[in-house]
This record gives sequence, C-alpha cells and structure tokens, in this order.
Amino acid sequence: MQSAEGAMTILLISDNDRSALACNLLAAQLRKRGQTCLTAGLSMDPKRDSPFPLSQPQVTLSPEVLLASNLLETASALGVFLKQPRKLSSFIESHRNLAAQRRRPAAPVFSGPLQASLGDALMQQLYDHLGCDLLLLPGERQHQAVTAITQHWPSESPPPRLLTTGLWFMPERPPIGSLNGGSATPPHLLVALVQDQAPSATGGKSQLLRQLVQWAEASPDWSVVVQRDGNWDRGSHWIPRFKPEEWSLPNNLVFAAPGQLLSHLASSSACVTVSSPWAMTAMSWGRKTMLVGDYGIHTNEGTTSWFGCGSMHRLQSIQHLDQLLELPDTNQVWLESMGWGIHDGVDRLINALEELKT
Amino acid sequence: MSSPFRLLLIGDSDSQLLACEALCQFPDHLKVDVTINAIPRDGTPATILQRAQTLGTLWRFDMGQVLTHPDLHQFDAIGVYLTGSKISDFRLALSLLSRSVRPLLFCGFNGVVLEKFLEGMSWRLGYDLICLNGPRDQDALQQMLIGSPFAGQATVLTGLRRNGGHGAASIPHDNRRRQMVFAEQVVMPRDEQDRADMVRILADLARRSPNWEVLIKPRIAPDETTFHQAETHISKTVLQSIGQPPSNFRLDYRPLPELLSQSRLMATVSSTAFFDALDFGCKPVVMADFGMNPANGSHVFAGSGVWRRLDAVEDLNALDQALGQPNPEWLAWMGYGREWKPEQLIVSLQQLRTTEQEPFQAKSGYLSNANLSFNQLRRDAERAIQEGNWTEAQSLLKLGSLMRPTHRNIARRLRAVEQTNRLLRQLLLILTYRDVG
Repeated sequence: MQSAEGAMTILLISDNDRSALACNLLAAQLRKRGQTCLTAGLSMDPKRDSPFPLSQPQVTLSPEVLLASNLLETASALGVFLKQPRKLSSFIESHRNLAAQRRRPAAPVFSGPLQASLGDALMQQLYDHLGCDLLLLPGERQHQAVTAITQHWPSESPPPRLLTTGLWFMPERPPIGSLNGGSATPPHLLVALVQDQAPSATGGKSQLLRQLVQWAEASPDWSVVVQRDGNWDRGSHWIPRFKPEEWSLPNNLVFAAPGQLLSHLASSSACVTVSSPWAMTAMSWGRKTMLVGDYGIHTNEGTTSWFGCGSMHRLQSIQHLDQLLELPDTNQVWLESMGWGIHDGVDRLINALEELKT
Repeated sequence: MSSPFRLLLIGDSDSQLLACEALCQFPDHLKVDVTINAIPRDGTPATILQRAQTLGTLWRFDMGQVLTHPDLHQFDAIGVYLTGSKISDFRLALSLLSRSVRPLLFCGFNGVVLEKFLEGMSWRLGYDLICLNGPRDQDALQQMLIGSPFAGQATVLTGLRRNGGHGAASIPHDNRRRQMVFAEQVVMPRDEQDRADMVRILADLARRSPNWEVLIKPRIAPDETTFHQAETHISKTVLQSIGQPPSNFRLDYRPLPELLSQSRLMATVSSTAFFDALDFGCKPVVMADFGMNPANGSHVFAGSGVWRRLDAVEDLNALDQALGQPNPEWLAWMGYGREWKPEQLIVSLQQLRTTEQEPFQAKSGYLSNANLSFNQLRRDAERAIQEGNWTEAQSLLKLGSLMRPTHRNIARRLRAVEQTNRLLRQLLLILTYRDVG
C-alpha cells in the first residue's frame, strides 16, 4: 500500500453487507481528508439479498485470511467491523500474537457498534468490543453510559479508549436532488422499515402488515413500501410462513426490491418502524418518523433506545397517512445526544489514531 | 401525639418480598406501622413469609382482594413491589382516585439493577415516588428522562444497606469460622457450562483449602420458586459438574444472614447479597472467572475493588489475607453508604403529602410502558401461558379482569388457566385463543 508522506494507511475490514457499507462510507470520508485507506472483507453472499446498495470491498478476503496476509503488516491502523462482534476479540488476539511473533508492533484496532443504542444493548456492545484499542461510540449518551459503568473497573481490565464519532456509519445526508424528500404535495411515499426481531410476539408481524394495508387503502394518494432493514435469504418472506395468496395487498403497497433502502428513505415523506436503527437516518434526514409505541419500551423489541425520542406514537393515532406529516418533529436534543450532534467524527478519529501511534 | 404512618407494602415473588423487608428499617420516632401483603404464590419460601410477619401485620390477599380491600384507603402510602407490567397496572387501577383521597403510591427495585433498567423504569414512571438505590441509578434515570415530559418524576435514594448495618457489632473477622459462603443466583451465570464451571471452581478452591469450608447458599430450595425460572437446580448442577464433592464443600440452606454473620468470606458473581455481607461484617469477593460479561452483571461488579478470579487464587488463606475492603467510591456510587436509608422514604412521602404535584402532562410522541399497560398485560399473560407459568398467567389475567371487568376474552382466558385438569385447560386455551399481537 502506497501512502502519501505523513498520511496513515488505514485498513477497514468488514464481513457483511452492513459493515461493508459502513466501511465504504468511512473510507470515503477518510480519503477526503487525505488519508490512505483500503477496504477489505468478504464478498457478498450470493444466496442472500441486501437492502443496501452494493458495497464491495476493494480486497475480497475473509478476516481470517487477512490475518495471514501481509496487508496487516503495512497498515497503520485497523478498523474492524464484524457481523458477529464476538469474532472481533479472537481476530484482535490473533493479530497481536502474530505481530509479536513477527517482532513488529501491532497496528491499533478501532471498532464500534454500527447503530446508536442505549441500556442493555449498549452494554452488550461494550462487551463485544472490549479487546479493541479505540471504541467508537455515536453520541454523548453512549459515552456517558459507558464512562459511568467503566469508571471503577480495575486497572488490569481497562476498557478501550472511548471516542464519540457521531453517526459515521450511515450517510450523513440524502443524495443531491433528494434533500427534501418526497414532494410537498401528493403522491407521498411511506417507508415502513420492518425488522426480523420485532415485533417479537407470535402474530405481531402479520398484525403490523395488516395495519400498513389498512393505511394504504385509506390513503390512495400515498405509496407504501415495506422495506426490510437487514439482509435475508433470497426468496424468503419477512413474515415466517407468509402465503401471498392469503393476502390481498392494495396496489399502492409493495415490498421493496433489494438494494433500495437508502433511495427509498431519500425519496420518502415519512417513515414508520418499531425500532429499526435506520429510523435514525430518517430522523437525521428530516423525514417525518414514527416509532410504533404499541410494543412498549422493551429490550426484546429494541425500543428501549428510543425512549424520549419524541416520535413514538400508537398505531391507532394514525387513520390516514397524511396525519404522519403533522407529527411533531423528533426531539432534537435527544437526536443530537445520540450522535447527530457530532459532525467531525472522522477528524476526531484521525486525531485519535495519530495519538495512538505515539 | 402524632398518629402513626400507615404503610402497606405489596410484594409477589420472593425477591420483591425481600425488597419490602429491606425497607422496614424505620426509626421509632417516625412511628411507621407496617402491613405487608404477600400475594399468594406457589413456592414462596416459608422463611421469607415468617420474616415478613415479624415486621408488622402480614396479609395474604390476591391482587383483586387487595385492590378492593375496605382498609386500603386508610393507609398513608402503598409500596408496590410487583413484577413486570403489574407494577404499572396496579397504579392504573388505583389512579382513578385523586391523590388527595388515595394513599401515596411508591415503588422501587429489588436490589441492584443489573439489566433492563430503562424498561423497568418505564413501568414505574407516574408513581408518586420511586425508590432508587443510589447515585448510579439516579444518574441513569436523569439521562433517560432529560428533555422528556417525565423529567419531573420524584425519586428518593434508599440505599443498599438492607440490614441496618450490623457490621460494627458483629463477630471480629479473626474469630469467625474459616468459611466462605457463595451466594448462588438463579440465572447469573445462565449458561449451563458456566454454571458447571462455577461449581467446579468453587469445589477446586475447597480442595486447595482443606482448613476451610465452602458453602453454597442456594437462592431457592428445590421446591421453591423465585422471579426467575431456573432450569436446573444448583443441587443438580453440583452432581452434573463434580459428582462427588470434597468433604469441606456443601450446599447450605440456612438463612443467608445467619451464614454471613459467622463466615469470614462471601463470594458472588453479582448478587445484591454482596452488600448484605458488608452489613454482617463478612468480607465479600466477586467472582471474575466469567469475564466482564453484562449478561452476568459482571460489568457492574467489576468495579467493586474485590473482583478476583477464584480459579487463580492459591487457596482461601491467601485470599483472606490479600483481600481488602471494597472500593469506597464504587460503594458510594452503588448506594451503599450511611447517607442513603429507608428513613428517607418516609420523609419524602410526608413532604409529598404536603406539596401539590402535577401529574405528567401527556405530550405527543412520548410514551412509556404505563401508556399501554392493558395490551402489554395481555401479551405478558400469553407469554406466561406459552411458558406454562400458570401462577403468573392467573395473576396477570386477574388483574386484567379487574381493569376491564367486561372484557370477555380476559375472563375466558382466566377461567382456562384456572382449570387444574391439564387436558381441559389445553382445550379451553385453544378455544379462547386470540391474537394479541
């Protein structure tokens, strides 16, 4: 890897579609600031569809193979973002052991969650990333919570260095031409961000789809796109044992094609979800966003992180989708504390990596 | 002479009853007259009920009987220590009355909160007063509520000194038995292999320490139940992991206070009993063998200053000599200090009685679990039915039928779970099933 004089060579490692997207976004920001970057990771699983635009790493190698390659020796820092963060600790340990064996200093490893969480989910993320040198956290809320819990930890088990870097793992703004989302007048687009894990109760997903159908029928001047927020086995349905012939879906309600999550969010007027992390993108892009409050503040539903966002409403409060346009804005203080308030995250990262070198 | 302060404490599972018991350390001058209602449940340990009886009047009414009890409104305050959504349901059931004619309502947590703080707090918002352990909980709550309509929620710190601080009067350390008590927790660690390793590590330590006794204090006896459901009782885990235990290693079912008051050391993974040990002058040590895993509460207890890997300890003599006191800053952060005590609860309740407190103003976009309690109650009841936890299902559905007496499906589901004949119950459950989302 060639690098400009004085610039670092940062290797960003991913192992699925979500982390590849995050690495590509980060690489673009780093390069804009004169840093040399290389993205590496697994190629996309051909048996699975992704909601994200194709983000192919520059070098297609698994993290395990990367460990044995000389790429790691030439990197000044490693950003490692793995689907199963528990693999992270074994990766870091192997990386450090190999460096010691080769009598070379191990390049510092930075990592972090690819969403803004609170409560038990945040504590799990902290645990998953304990081995790294630098832990990237989205906002002040996460920083305060992690600092509080680690403040008394023994010196022989120090937490990683913490750095708040904002919402770097999602596009900061929609593409030019879509800055204001859907048109001010009909037809409007509603993106329903649906998840594998929520609602968790038996029948919950069917109930949610029935509600979306009802809204679509009551609002013919809207289009409703049901958008899965994570990858899926090609051909599998969002609702287990879903039989299309048993559903009479209105013409203005469709399931999103693969790869379109960001473009749908960009052209939407409103977004509804139980607890998808991509609702943070919708909020940050100024789209009217509704978190479905009917499932309560529950760890299992992923809703605890959204308490206090100011965008949580009951399904019954919306009869016609035009009402979504009248919803109050997201609590900006909350949104900023969850990471939106930090716009120089990549500069902070570069500075922190410089400091780690010394 | 001022009249006594009449306090009703309502608990269901054994942990909740222990929390009620821990509160009852009020100085005489406050003249607190305590009634404890232990909701009848199968498997509640008899010792816990006996201890509750010594604190005042013991009631054994189910939820419906409590809510309709003619004396209910004679109390100055009611402390509600129920599990899950019931904590919110109870408040809703009483909140139809204005605060000037009903007792003040307060609630709290049973011991150290290791997980689901945000969720648990969301069930409690709207109570007149919420008891918290210490600054850790208070800071977390402040972060949670900042900028929300719930930011004015009244709280009081009641601390983790649950046994009145007998430490000073207890047996001096060197005069105590060379005995280490391990306070078992039902689900921490939860993983079967970790639980087996836990027993093996303790047994190995006993083998390396022949002049000591290692006692495992099971959280519950095999025929008892607690809030968490254990798949394998610790007595079975002992058999599964070490087979034949060393002669100085055994399970001991005596009450924990008795064991702590005579032992030199107390070990735990993340039990609130850590603080009980300090109360009884017993040196606590936290088992670090399972890492910093938050699923075991280790992320909280790692800061205790006495977090040690017991598989790396030479023997218990060495541990006893090397082990210092817990980190005082961590203790204070958690709420273990003389400045936080249950007395503060009564003082705060008396102050609340004389001040006008505005109820939360509903604001569009802000929901807590209290806003949707009835639906959640039904989902929780269905979950309990799926798990075959009939006591919990009955309790939830009874509460549901009190909140909505005319709701036919709730009444039918209640009749179904009350059916003791297994086949008939199954049939009724199939016939009365409704998708509650």
